Amino acid sequence: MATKKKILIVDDDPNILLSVEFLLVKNGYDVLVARNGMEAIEIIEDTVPDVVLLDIMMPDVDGYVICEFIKKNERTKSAKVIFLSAKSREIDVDFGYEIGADLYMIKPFSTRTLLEKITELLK
Amino acid sequence: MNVWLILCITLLYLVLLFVVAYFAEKKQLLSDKWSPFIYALSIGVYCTAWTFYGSIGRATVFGPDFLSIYVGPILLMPLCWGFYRKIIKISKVQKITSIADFISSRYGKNISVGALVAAVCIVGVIPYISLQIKAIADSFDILNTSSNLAQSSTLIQTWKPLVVTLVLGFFIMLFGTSKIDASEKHVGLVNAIAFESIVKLIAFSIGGLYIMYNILNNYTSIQIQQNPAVQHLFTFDTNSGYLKWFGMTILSFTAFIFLPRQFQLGVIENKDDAHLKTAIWVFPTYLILINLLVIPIAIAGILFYNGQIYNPDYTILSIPGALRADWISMIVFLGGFSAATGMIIVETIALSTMFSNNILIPIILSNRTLKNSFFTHVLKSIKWIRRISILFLLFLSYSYYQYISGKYSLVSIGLISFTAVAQFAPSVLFGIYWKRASKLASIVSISIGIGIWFFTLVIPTLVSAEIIPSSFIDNGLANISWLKPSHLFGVAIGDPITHAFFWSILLNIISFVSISLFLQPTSEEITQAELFVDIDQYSSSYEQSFVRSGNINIIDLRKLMSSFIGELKSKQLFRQYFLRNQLEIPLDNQKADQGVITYTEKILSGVIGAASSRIVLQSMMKDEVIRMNDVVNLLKESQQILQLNKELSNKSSELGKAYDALSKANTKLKQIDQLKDEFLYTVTHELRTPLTSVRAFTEIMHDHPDMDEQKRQEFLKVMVYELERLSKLITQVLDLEKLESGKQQINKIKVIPLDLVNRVVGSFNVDINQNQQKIIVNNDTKFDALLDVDLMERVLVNIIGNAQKYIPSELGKIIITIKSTEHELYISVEDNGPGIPAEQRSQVFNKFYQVAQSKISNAGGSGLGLSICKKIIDLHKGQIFVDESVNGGAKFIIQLPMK
Repeated sequence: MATKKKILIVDDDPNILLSVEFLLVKNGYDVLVARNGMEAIEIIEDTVPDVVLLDIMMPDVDGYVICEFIKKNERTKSAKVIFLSAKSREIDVDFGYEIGADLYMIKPFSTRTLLEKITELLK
Repeated sequence: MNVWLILCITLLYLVLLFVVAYFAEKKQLLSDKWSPFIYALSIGVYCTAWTFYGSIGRATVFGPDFLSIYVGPILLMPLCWGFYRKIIKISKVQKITSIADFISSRYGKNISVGALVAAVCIVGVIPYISLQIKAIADSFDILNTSSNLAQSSTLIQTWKPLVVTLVLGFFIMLFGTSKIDASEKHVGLVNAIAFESIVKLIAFSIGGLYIMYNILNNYTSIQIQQNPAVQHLFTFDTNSGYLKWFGMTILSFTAFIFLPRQFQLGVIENKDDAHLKTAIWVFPTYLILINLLVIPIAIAGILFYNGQIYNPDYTILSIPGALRADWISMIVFLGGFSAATGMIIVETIALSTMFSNNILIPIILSNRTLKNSFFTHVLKSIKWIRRISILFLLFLSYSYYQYISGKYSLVSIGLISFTAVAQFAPSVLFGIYWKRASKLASIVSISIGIGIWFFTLVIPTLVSAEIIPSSFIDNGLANISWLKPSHLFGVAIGDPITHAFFWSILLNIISFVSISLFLQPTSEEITQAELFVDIDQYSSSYEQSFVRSGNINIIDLRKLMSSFIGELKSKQLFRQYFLRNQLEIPLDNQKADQGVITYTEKILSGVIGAASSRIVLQSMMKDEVIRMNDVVNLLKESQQILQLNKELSNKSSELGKAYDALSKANTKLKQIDQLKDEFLYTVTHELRTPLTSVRAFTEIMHDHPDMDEQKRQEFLKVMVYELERLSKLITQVLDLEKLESGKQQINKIKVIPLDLVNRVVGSFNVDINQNQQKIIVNNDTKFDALLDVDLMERVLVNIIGNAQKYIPSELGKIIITIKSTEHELYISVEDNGPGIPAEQRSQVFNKFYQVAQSKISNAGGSGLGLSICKKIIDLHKGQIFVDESVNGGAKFIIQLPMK
């Protein structure tokens, strides 16, 4: 049996963490959860996830910084980064892609699309 | 010294040099603030073995005469730096790769001009390179034989110069051909050369000071002054002296600019023309420092050898040798070696760029079979063409050394090269300041100049080398007496160099000016003339300045470019071009417009030179250059438009005030608009977060009907909570909008303040009692107040609600105090929560502001509550602010008029 893929969810809204964690566990993923930027970086330094779901606006370290951290680091850059953000302007989205995100989804997103995209990225 | 030891140290030095270059290229050794100094020191490549050894020889024989070639750069660099900067600017805009490229670009990107200049450079400068080989070989011999322990094998003696040449060739290939784009900067090379400049200055000073200390100390000043050979050192030859010094000043300045190595380091490798400001004082200082000890060393040489025959060129090396100061000799040798290698390396790189771009590649492109194989392996071919050029040039220099230069002093060969490159001066000078300067004038004048140079300076050296019979010099060409190389037109002017320089430059200028005046310039020349002469106007709009009807697709252009510089880079450059000019990125099969074509040509010219890149592009498409009259008209038109704009803006001064007022109003409107946008963006952003949870939970529950009941309840609870948050937010947004737009009516009635407060507190009591928290109300007023009860209740609910969120769940305490005077009502709400940091207190009333690091506020807080409160208090003409309560928590204070 193939090993479970690891997904890290980073968001400061507990309800989003609650729902997405449930969704991903139900769909057979190994889920890690970070409530803020620092926690996320600690987890990434420890284990490299296959996918990172990233909120952008967080009180300590914002999602852009974490994305850059992941993509600039030789060891971690294989991780796919999906931004899940309420920042909906074109420049926000463009900037996300510019710093290396694999996907940018605007909140509120469809959980079904999210699952499809994760499967696609992990192919 | 032992020959193997010398060889080892020399080789180690070369390795060190390479290490310096390597690290400068990869790691950037020094911060940017040093780069003007590195630039200035790298121009110090001007001081070659000629300076290091030859100056002393020249001083010994001719006195202060040796200084003449430094006066030009020292005086004219600070004076003529505007001229120099213009050359640098043009070269940057046009991606110039060499002096040949510069001149050929100016005169319509013509191949013949480029090839002529390249050929002149090669013919003129090869002897100069061979002179450096000679200096290395000679100094090596002196170092080697100065010690009795010499064990040199004859094998090494014979092959040494060739070996040195080959080793250098190898190093030059490493330095020079790592990058294909010849207009790209060779950071490593520049750093290595600057490093060599420091080495040669230090080595020269150490040698000089050693000699002064050991020789001059043994003589009294009277003894020194009375020596006839020393006295000769200080005599100034007044006969031809002034003319000669004047000529030398000009000659050395032109050489300083146009010698291929100087052009390479001074112009091509210049990162920023602002660096010139540093260079104009650092470089002259450097020249003065390195010449400071020349005379003392020359005097020491005369005294030391006292009448014996010796080669004064190598005084600085032979005296320490004779005194058995092996390590001093070694240091001096390394200094001379770096002076020579610096010159050989840069000169060869510069010449090989010219040789390949201006001679070899045009030849290859004119042959169909060669051209096809060139195009299929562009990158490889260019590298190999450059490498072969380097070897070929070094081979030429070596041969020259073997057969001819052995018979001349260092200085005389150098000056011959100076005179050759001085022939470019009229073409460049007129080229960048005079629009009429024409291509034919350039070709003819350089040819005439170089012809005279050859006749007056080169032929005599061939005679000395016994290649041409000496009757030629004595009787003149075909026995015509006014065609004697040393007395052209029967006139003898000073020494041979001054004589040659005078006649060649004079005829060069005369022919240049007369042909230019006589000829009607072609369309291509006019364009380039405009671009060169008015560089400041066109530096930013170079791509637009060409008009040509191209017939080539975008994809073909990109393919062409990527065959030269690689796919990735050309893709990037194309993107950059369109982004920079704010154009849409065209489809692959779309026709390329003139801008893109010119851009491509410019990029290619960085690799293969201007003239070659033009041929490549022309061969790619049916290029019809539109009548250039149109181009000129176009350029003039754009200038006229600028002029018109200026006039218009002058006339509008009467309308100025009105305009100012309008624009102010406009800015204000824009600001309001922007604030509105910002607000809307934030509102939608705030709406998105609860919506996300609701949507996610709904979908999950729909897709997973099998989930357990407990989980379902939990999710539903969250959804209810989030929906409450949503509706609250919407209500508040609407409230705020009503307050802000002034539509909110205020409806004041008489109330007892305590009643109002108690009503609000009552609505909290259920929660409060559950949580073991307390609300205490202190009342100290009996008066009635006129208030809008509904609005004021909202304010209190908000503030007390906030306080309740922050106080500890056990022993949490909220104290409400009511006081009044006859005119003013005062209500304060204080808590024992964490409080609000002083620097944030003024901002809490801003929309969507949430106190940093207080995640609790997210629990149901919209970030709008307090701004609504503030608006309501404003409506009552009262005040609200935050302070710190006695127990460290927050204290909200409201002041209202009683009526």
